[in-house]
Amino acid sequence: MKIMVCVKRVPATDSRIKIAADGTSLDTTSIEWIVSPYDEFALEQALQIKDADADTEVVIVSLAPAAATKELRTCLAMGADSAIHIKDDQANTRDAFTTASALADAIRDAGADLILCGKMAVDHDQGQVGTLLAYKLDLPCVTEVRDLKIDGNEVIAERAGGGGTKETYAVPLPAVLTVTKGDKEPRYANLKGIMKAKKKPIEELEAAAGADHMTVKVMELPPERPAGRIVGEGVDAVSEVMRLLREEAKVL
Amino acid sequence: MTSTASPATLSSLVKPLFLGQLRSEALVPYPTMSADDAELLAMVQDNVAKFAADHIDPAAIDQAHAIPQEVLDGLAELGLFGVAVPEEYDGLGMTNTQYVKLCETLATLDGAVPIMSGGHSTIGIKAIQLFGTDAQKARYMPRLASGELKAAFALSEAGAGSDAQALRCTATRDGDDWLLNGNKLWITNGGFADVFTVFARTPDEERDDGRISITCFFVERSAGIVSEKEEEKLGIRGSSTVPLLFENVRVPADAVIGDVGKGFKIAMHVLNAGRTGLSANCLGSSKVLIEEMAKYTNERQQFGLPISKFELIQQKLGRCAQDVHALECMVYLTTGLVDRGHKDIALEAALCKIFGTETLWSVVNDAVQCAGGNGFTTDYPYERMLRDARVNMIFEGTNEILRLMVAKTGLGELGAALAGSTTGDALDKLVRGSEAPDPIEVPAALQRDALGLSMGIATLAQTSAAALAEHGKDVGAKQLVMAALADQVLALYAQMAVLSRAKLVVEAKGEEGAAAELLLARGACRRMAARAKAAADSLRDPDVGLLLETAAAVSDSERVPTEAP
Ligand SMILES: Cc1cc2nc3c(=O)[nH]c(=O)nc-3n(C[C@H](O)[C@H](O)[C@H](O)COP(=O)(O)OP(=O)(O)OC[C@H]3O[C@@H](n4cnc5c(N)ncnc54)[C@H](O)[C@@H]3O)c2cc1C
Repeated sequence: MKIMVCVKRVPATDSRIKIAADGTSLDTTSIEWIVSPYDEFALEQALQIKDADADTEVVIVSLAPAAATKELRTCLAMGADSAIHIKDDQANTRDAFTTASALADAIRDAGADLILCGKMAVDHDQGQVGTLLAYKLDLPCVTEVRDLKIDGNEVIAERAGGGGTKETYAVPLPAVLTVTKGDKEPRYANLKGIMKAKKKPIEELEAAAGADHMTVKVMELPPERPAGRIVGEGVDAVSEVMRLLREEAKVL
Repeated sequence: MTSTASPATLSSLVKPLFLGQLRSEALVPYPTMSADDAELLAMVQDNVAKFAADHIDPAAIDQAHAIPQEVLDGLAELGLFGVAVPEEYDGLGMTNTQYVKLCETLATLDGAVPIMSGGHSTIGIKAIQLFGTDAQKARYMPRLASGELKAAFALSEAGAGSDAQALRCTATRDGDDWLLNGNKLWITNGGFADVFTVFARTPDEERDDGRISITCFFVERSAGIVSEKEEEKLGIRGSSTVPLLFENVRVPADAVIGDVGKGFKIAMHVLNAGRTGLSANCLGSSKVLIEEMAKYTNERQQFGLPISKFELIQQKLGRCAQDVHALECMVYLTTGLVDRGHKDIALEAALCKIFGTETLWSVVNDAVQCAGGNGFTTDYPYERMLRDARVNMIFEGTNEILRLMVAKTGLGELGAALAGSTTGDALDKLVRGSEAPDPIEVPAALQRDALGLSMGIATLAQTSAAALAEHGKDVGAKQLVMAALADQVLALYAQMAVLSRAKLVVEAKGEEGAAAELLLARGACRRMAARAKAAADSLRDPDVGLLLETAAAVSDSERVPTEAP
């Protein structure tokens, strides 16, 4: 069983975001990078399958700038067996279609029984790559999977449906799943894992020189939130708060 | 200047300053980590920070007066106890720079955790790691790396603090074994450690020449070490600090680390080498405080303006950042020297420790002040950080003792160099004024500061020679003189580090790209140059006599010796 997990390097969620001088991208000079959290959920699912069945091979695939290997090594330190690094210095601004194409090419060449992605990367929050990847590979896709297990030639995937329902799908392999937060907390990469990761292989591929299909025209920071207001204290304030919620915030 | 043997490439950068010499060649390039080393470090830092976000609550640890067992277990699982252990013993084998940067990270996460970690990695396991036999290391190091065994360093006693050599714990031979007896005090990690690096007098080994024989032992708690009640402390309350009791604790012959009678050297070596770790703790805490200060003073409005718009607040932000910049340059110059193979860094590390601990103390003081009443309450982290910061100036060698050590070593160096002179009047010549060394080559924007550094070095050499000429062998008792020399050296080493790093950054990015670095570098150099000058000027302070006479009166009367008018 070979599981491919697609991961993306994104700015740490507590980074102070600044827009670059070009007005269309992030200023990345003082940004700390991390593995996108949903991708970590996906990796944890794969690693738990591997924990239960040692014959499982977990391969990381990532479109990332040439110098960005820390996040790949972190995935290897968590327990993945190897990684494919598709080198692209513009990885972080690539549109979803181009990204999915690059990943699909690498996955097609390497072969995989199951492909997992996070439900979205927490930089642009678009959530397109997983489904586009399934389309490119001509494979079935289940999105926002909370939990999954392998059952013979099928993957059993659980997701939240509308209205609080729980949907459980049986999907023939190979398949693409996009993963969201479930009950399986991603593990920490421990020291032994970090030591082992130093010796695990990272295959390097050059990204095909495809142009983006879309360009970002403008990127803007959200407007500053107005300062909070104290309208009074204790029970005396309740009626004023209710009035404001009704009339100003219009949430009641 | 007399001709002295040209210093070996890997010798101290600080000692030659007393002779008016600047070792520019050893200063460049400013050390940096390889890409692989930086990546490994970043992975460990990320993991520890992630773990901390989920599991470490500094306020709760402070209130509980303990680091919870789950946190210790979790940190062990992460591998924190093995970061400094060589790879051959299942550790991560971090370089000195990596390790010290991790100390900095730990200090941004909590007050007690970095002390606990340092008690294990910086001092607890170092004697066996550096001086143990292969058999001793094979037996213990893998379990120390995994955190299965946690270590402590037991040197201090009730009667032996700064004067560690006065220790009274004894180890006497009993057949092939040794019996340990006595008490230790202030032992970090002592409440839960499984193994202890213990220093004891071995009186049977003492010879007629009156030399004290001290031996280092690596002792398992199960041999019978008893830890007594935890100290109630001002700060770092989550860190375990206990007295230890030894009553006929029997240890085998192979518990001895290094040679019998050579233990004190081991203790000093471990402490001397470890002080950069503590200074990086101070660096990490200082950076957190500056971030908090900057946010707070931007948000807090008084008189219709954020208080960061007022000059007296800006003064605090500016000087804290300048000091912290100088500290950072100094700490990672020192660790970089270690990684390049410099063995003789006791003075450099001591200067980092003095400067780091005092910088943090002034930063935390400024941070509390900027936060006003809030700074004084437990709703904000400032008061806890202030309490946690205080101990740094006391342990791992008090700052007084370290200043004396720096000056004594430096003057020793100068004395030795002059003794080798054939002309005899070398000291006189130096006292009349020493020639400034060639300034280090720096980008244009920093040339004035490089010149200032050279002048400062000449002043140090001149004042050091004058101190020797005036006081001769008794100079060690002239502690105000000694401290004034040490403070000059501190400020000079800081300038060397700042200039070296700025040069590297400017060469990589150009003066425009390095604008932020240059701003800090220039500010820090000026501040440090002023500090060196103030220290040198204090040597001519005519009022020292009044001060010491007053102190004597206080000591006599044990009160402020005033008389009612
Ligand atoms: C929280 C904590 C943790 C510690 N952890 C450890 C540990 O893990 N292992 C360990 O072995 N020790 C540990 N110590 C002990 C620590 O190293 C000593 O407290 C320190 O060395 C100072 O010794 P002392 O307390 O006896 O003070 P003293 O030596 O009595 O000093 C009191 C004051 O006098 C000054 N002074 C002393 N001698 C001179 C002199 N000749 N000239 C001028 N001034 C002088 C000192 O600088 C200080 O200001 C710890 C201490 C604390 C508070």
